[in-house]
Amino acid sequence: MSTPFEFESWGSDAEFGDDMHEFGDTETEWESEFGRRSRRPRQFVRPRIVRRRPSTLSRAPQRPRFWPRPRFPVAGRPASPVRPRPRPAVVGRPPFPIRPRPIFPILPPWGGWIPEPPPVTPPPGAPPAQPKPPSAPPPSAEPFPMEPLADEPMAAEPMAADEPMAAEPMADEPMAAEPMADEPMAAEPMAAEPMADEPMAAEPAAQDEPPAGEFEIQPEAFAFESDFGEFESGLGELETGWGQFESSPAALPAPCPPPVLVKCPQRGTRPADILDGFQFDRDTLSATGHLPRISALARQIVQSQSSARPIRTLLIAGHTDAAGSERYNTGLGQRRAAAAMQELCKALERVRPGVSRGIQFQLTSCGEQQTRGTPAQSRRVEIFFPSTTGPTRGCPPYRERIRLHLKILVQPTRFSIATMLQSMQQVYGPAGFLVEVASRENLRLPALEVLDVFCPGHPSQMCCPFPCASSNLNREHVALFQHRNNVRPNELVVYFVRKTEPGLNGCCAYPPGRPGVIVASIASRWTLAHEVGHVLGLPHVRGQLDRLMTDGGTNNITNPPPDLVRSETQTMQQSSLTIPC
Amino acid sequence: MAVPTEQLRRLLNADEPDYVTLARLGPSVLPQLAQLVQHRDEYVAANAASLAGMIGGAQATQVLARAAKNPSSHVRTAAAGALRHVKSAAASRLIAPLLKDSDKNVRKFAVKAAANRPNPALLAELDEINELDPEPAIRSLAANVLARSRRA
Repeated sequence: MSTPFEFESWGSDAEFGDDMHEFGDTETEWESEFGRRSRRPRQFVRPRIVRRRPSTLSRAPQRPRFWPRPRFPVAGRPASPVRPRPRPAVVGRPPFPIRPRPIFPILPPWGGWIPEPPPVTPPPGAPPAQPKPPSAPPPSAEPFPMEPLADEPMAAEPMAADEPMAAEPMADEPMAAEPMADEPMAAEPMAAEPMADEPMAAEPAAQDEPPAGEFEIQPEAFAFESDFGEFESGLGELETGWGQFESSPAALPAPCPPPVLVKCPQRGTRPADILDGFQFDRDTLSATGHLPRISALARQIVQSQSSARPIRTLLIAGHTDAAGSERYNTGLGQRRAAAAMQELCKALERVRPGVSRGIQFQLTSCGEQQTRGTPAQSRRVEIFFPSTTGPTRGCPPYRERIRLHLKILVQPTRFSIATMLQSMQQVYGPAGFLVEVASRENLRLPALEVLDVFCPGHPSQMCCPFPCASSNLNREHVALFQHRNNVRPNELVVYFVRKTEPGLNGCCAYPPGRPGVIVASIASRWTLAHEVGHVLGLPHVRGQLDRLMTDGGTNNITNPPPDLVRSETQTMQQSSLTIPC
Repeated sequence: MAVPTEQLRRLLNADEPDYVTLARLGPSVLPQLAQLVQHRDEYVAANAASLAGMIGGAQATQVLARAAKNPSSHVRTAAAGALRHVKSAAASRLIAPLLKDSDKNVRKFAVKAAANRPNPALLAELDEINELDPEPAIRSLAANVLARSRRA
């Protein structure tokens, strides 16, 4: 007997036929290629199905053609047990965004619509019929896969922006430094994005297309491997990315807060950094010139967050040279500032994710109003730190604060700087003073590592007098105290040197207007507190080795921590170098 | 006035030794200083050398001669710095080997100590330092000292 019918393959006839008979009352007629006919009456319009022998099936995936094609969701039960096709493990990161994979009920070949029996109207007077409970699915049928099945690989974790790839990339896939949502797949013979309406590559001629009916099978529904064999309908190999990759799209970097547009700062305002050398009529940042500086600036901003003066506001001003109209240059300056802001925001997120949310970005364009010496210098972006006027308010439980700037020529050898600071806080804290390190800087001054502190004009006299402010200091001493980067007038500088000549553990003498102390590398843990005490107006105390300001040497202090008495505390409070909280 | 060595050591071990007051003790403390310049604590030894230079005299030169041979560069630096205050031929003879010391700080203070000494041998050494010293600051210092010596 010839094969009167052809249908898309769903497995062997026998299996299909057997499954058909498991579904109780609902019966269908189904004609196999072998001519087997069911004698049961037809209860629905038989779909026109086309079946081919397995050997004649093309390797290209075939779109199922059924009529009518059920829409989803459909009532009824799955007609056959199916097993979803296991997904390959995700290796690497897909180069395109992944759409979440929809989950559809499993459909039998004819579309899966199994009509419910017509409602039976009870005779008049009879009690209302109880609603018929839905037939239990056959034991072999699997429930609707409403959740990802156990053998499916779990979706990969979304990747943060700029996260280095942990796994090896796909074989032919070029590695991208950042996730690029629009980048098509490199070497896969598949479409970049799943498109439900995308025509299949091996789609047969139009006359085979079943007429549009009430139902329409979604291609994604057939991404399952049926029990009837190894044939898969649907998209098959042409399943798009979401069929192969389980991961969700890589997480985009945290968005920068929207900038605030402000006026151009006055000419002469000192910026924190300048990114000059923009190309003519371009707003692109240079990878070699601009990006490293932006990265360094980002690190500086992040480090300041844990200091007493965190940088919370950034003003980014774009400039241009004089070529072009003023209006155009204003726009170009704005674009340059925006580009710098975007890159700075990314750099901040790389150093510490989430830090940019606490920073206010202010953008402005000065256009061609503030040109510099050369056009290349004029084409720039300036970044300002419009910081607060002073330290943060309040430092409970302390009443006043002492701000130190550390300038390190030689690291101490006997006690670390941290130990000295901790010891200082141990003594000053109970007296109500908070010791703050405002900055730390390494100074490369080999000629001043051993500091000559002899008095000029009195070669046999050492100059480390008390009171500490003195205009008769050795030239080397004065040269050292020139280094006062970022130091305000009411703040102290501590210079860590190798030694002094003649030998001192520390010295409080400073040129007028430049308060600071010198600490030698073999100083004791209390030397720093002792010398700062001198700067705050405390003289030596004779013979009492349990006092900080003892003249017997802090090496000989007994009963540590040494004490500060009330009168000394009052003297310190009156100093201009102690800042009320 | 005799001062016990231990007391002298404690005074020299202060954060800011009062060299001016200690120098008033005079040459009587030089024997103790001669011991202290060989103290295991290089800070004490260096301060002892500095004090000896402030006291001055022939005996102080002997103390400084011991300090100039100390293995610690701290002590040798103090000796070179202290020799600035001792204007004697014996002291000049101690400066020459310090000008060739391996430590740059010793050489720096030795150059300072060689200033204002009309000693041809020292001037020749300064010439050599001016040309060959690896430290630019020391070469500059030597040039200044030579210029002042030739003007004088």
